[in-house]
Amino acid sequence: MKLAYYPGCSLKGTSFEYEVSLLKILEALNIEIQEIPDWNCCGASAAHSLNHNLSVALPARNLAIAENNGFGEVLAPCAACSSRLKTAKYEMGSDDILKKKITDSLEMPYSNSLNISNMLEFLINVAGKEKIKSLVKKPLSGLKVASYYGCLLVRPPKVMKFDDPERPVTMDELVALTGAVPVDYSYKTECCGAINSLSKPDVVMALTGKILYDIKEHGADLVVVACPLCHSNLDVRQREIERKYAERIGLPVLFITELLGLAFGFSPEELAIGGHMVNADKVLKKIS
Amino acid sequence: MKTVINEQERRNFAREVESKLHDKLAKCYQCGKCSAGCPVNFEMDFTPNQIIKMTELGMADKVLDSKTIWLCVSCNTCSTRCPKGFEVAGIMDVLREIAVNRGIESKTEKEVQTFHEVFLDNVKSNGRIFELELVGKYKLKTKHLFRDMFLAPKMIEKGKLKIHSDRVSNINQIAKIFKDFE
Amino acid sequence: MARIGVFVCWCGSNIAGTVDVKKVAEEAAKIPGVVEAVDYKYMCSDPGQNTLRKMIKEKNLTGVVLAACSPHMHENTFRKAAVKEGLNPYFIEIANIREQVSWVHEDKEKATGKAIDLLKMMVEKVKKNKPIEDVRVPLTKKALVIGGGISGIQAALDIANGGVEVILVEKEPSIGGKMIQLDETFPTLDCSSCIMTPKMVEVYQHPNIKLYTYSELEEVSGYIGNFNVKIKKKARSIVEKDCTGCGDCWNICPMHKNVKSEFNVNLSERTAIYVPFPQAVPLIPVIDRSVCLHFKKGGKCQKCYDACGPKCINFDLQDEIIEEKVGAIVAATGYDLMENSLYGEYGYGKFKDVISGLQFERLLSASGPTEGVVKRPSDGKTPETIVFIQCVGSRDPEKGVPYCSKVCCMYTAKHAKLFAHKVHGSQSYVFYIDIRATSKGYEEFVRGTMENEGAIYLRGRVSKIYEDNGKLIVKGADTLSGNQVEIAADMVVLATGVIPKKGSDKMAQMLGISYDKYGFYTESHPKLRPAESSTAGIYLAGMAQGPRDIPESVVSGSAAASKILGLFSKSEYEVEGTIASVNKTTCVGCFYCKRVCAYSAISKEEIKDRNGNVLKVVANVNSGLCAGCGACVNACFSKSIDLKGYLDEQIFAEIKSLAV
Repeated sequence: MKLAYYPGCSLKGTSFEYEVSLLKILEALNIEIQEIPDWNCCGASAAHSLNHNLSVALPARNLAIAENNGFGEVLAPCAACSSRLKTAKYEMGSDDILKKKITDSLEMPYSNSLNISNMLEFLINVAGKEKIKSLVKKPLSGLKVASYYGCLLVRPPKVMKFDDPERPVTMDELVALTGAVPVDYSYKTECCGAINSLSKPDVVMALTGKILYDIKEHGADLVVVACPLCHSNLDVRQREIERKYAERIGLPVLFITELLGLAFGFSPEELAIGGHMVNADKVLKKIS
Repeated sequence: MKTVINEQERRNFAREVESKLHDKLAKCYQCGKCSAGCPVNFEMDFTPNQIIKMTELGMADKVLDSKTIWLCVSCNTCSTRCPKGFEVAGIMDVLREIAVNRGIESKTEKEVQTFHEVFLDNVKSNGRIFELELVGKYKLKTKHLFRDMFLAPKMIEKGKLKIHSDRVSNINQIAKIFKDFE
Repeated sequence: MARIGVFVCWCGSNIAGTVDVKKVAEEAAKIPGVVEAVDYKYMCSDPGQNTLRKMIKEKNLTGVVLAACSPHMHENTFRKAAVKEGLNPYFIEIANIREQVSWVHEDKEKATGKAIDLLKMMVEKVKKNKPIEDVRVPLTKKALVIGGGISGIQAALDIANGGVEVILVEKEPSIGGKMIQLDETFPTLDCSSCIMTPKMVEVYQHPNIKLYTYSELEEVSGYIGNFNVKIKKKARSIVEKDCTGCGDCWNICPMHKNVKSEFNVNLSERTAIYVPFPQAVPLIPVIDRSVCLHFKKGGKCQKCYDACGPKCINFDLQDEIIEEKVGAIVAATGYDLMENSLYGEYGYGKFKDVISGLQFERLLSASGPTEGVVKRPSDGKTPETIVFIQCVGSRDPEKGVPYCSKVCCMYTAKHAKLFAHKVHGSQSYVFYIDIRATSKGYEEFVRGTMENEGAIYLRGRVSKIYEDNGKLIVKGADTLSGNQVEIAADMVVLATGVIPKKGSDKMAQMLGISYDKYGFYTESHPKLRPAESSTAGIYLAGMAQGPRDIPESVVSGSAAASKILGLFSKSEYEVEGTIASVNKTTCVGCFYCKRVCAYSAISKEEIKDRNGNVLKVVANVNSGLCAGCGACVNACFSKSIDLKGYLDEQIFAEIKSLAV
């Protein structure tokens, strides 16, 4: 099956590290993906906040292009994008009138049959645990890693249909495959404040701070995420949170693809880990 | 805190919300599980369950001008845990959309509303998000010129903020989508 | 020559207000065969009945048609009146001109026309009526009670005390059900085992009760008065008559770790040979073969056998099938609690100190794992703050069940009260949505928990529970103040919803009774026949019908018992004669009728010649089981089945009467 890749805006901008690392590990896994030609922004939170129809129509264009290019499976590594693509599919599946309006507007045939995967689903279902495990050349033994899932990977369950919305385990399982120790903590699926990062920085810092301090308390060396929004709140805002609450955190925040990449033997430079705001050098020394 | 219910207005508003939401307001039995789990509840002026009840009572002015509808980050914790399967996060989207359609500008949460609007404008003109332009326009509009500015140099240094934008080449199709659905 | 009398009832203004009763009577008098037609204000009254009787006698009537209310109301009244004058009761027909005419129409002229038509139909029908005799079914005066919880025990005792033999079947090794697991009971706080054990002992010693514990119903056939049941008595591995219940066996059993006690809801462990609790009835142990070393390791361990004085342990005992014949059955199979692990947000199963209400009962109970001292399962410390969450699983159509479990409000108030009594200076917080305290003394009880014991009630649900430094952080809503609240608790008790006992749907299918979509048995009539199932001779009791508390369970057990004693007070059971009958000459033996019969009333009958050779196999209707629904009549391809009282010629006569 031809595998489509929907990068979304973040992976081409602030979260470029995610794309760099994911392309590296997919290469190692010998999985070929192709970017959806001329893809557009999914509309993110702004579209569904202001205009429901637009929030379905924008992702639908990408799905329709992918379908018309013969793809059957789409990887959307950004949790927000995958959530919007899945929601669009769900909405068009349950609202024929809306679906017709949208396909009329797009002037493309569209059957709504694509399978959409977030990064974790893709790794588990397309790559497979066995294959991932077999590629681990440099086990991350001794490294304590907290998986942060946030909201959009698991909620709402009737649309996402992925893992347990209250006690997800997929990312922890991937962490365990690298030889690192998964760290359990309380706020795995609590919201970091997401899109309100720029408009309500105080709220976002309160929410993100709670998560980071909880992870810290449970003894993790670093955090892994599978969402650029989560990453940006946990990583970019971390210094500010430390200042606000006058307590050091110092938790590097890696994308799950970067952690796998390290275990596969890639160097931090190859995985663009230096692109993060919180320096990971010290933690990574533990494994080198 | 007194509200005189005008039955006609109450019905009109409740029906408008219900038809957009594809759900029934009467389903909610006010257990408050949505509000208990809401991550941004502490900033809200009305709890999510209060918003649902107020909508049912037709209190359009208060609801559409509430902080709550703009503070909601659509994390979906409420909808996921709702014992009645009510679309709690969904009603926030519906109320925001109605507020915008009625031309109501949030008095208290202008930044959030503006951010969404600038974001969509950005999508409309580029097809994709050009982050530098998005942030710049947002700051101009909200006059929060210096907030978060200390982050910029390091982000540019790390390569996180690009100077150029990738546009969708078939931008006419994007324009058509906006025309058809805006 | 037919001589029909017609009586048009006014039912006060109920009928006469909308139907011109005089005109109906006038028109009726014109129908051939009608000797007299009268109207009367209330036919069901004594003078009304007397008018009927007088006319039957004086005019020598061969049939009677009443234009009145639904036959559900007074058919019996008029039939009895007819019988007194020597007329077969099935020569009484009723045209329903109240429910089907006056109550549903407004136009008087049209309504009167319809009433006349309905009346005409009945007149034509009654002309074709034939005398029908009611069916009499013999009764085996012995009852079976399924389930040894409080409702089953109550039913068994009441029946037995009425002088009737009872067989009580219980799946578990001891009777007592859920009630024996409870500590004290609301709203009087009497100790559950103190009031329960005397009843259990009474069952055991009652000369009229035969008790089968560790036994399950295997098969049921037959019908009211004549049920044949097979009971599987599971191998207990103990020769029961020799056992003294001394305890030497279970005290020496080496399997005392890793097997969770069902009775203590996993809060303690039990041995492989065990009695579930010290007051078990019978006080005879059972070997759990799935964990016993003797059975798992090829017979090596026999410590219990060696320790047993009367040598009553027998590893070779097998399951036994016991057959019994009974005349009536009580289904009192009880309930289970919902699975708490459905609520990942509450962390049940992950956080040791998040427990269920039934587990908390065991912690409160003097016979429980902590001997009645409230201790946390995690570290054995006494909790100072407990958060109780009501409606976990109940009133939750998304993850649980939409209905209210009825008992949780009350037992949570009781838990908070007992916790305050046991741990001084402690604090309870109760999250609720609505308080349902509607029986005698209940509201006062809940108020007492709030006002006198200091429990804080918060109206709202809990969204999430975290663990933080040995405390459980409970994040809930108080919808009355509009606040989100966080409480640091030492323990959380979930008031888990009630669901029917696992397998109750299978049990219902075996018994041939109906059940709802959750698996609760449904009553024959929700208001007027609450003790009867949909099948004659099978009665219902306890939580198997739906959520209810102890007094209601006791009442329902007694109700089922009184129904059975009433049934057994007659020498035979009478069934209405309007049942199906097969023309065995024309029956081709396709048995399509058997497939459509919902009452299992049709069996195969062999027609033999004098030498015993089978000539053909035909359908036979069991008159005890037939409910007269008529499904088989419609299904029969060879038109060999008739429903007495509703013969084809009668139906055709009705239809023809309408031909213009």
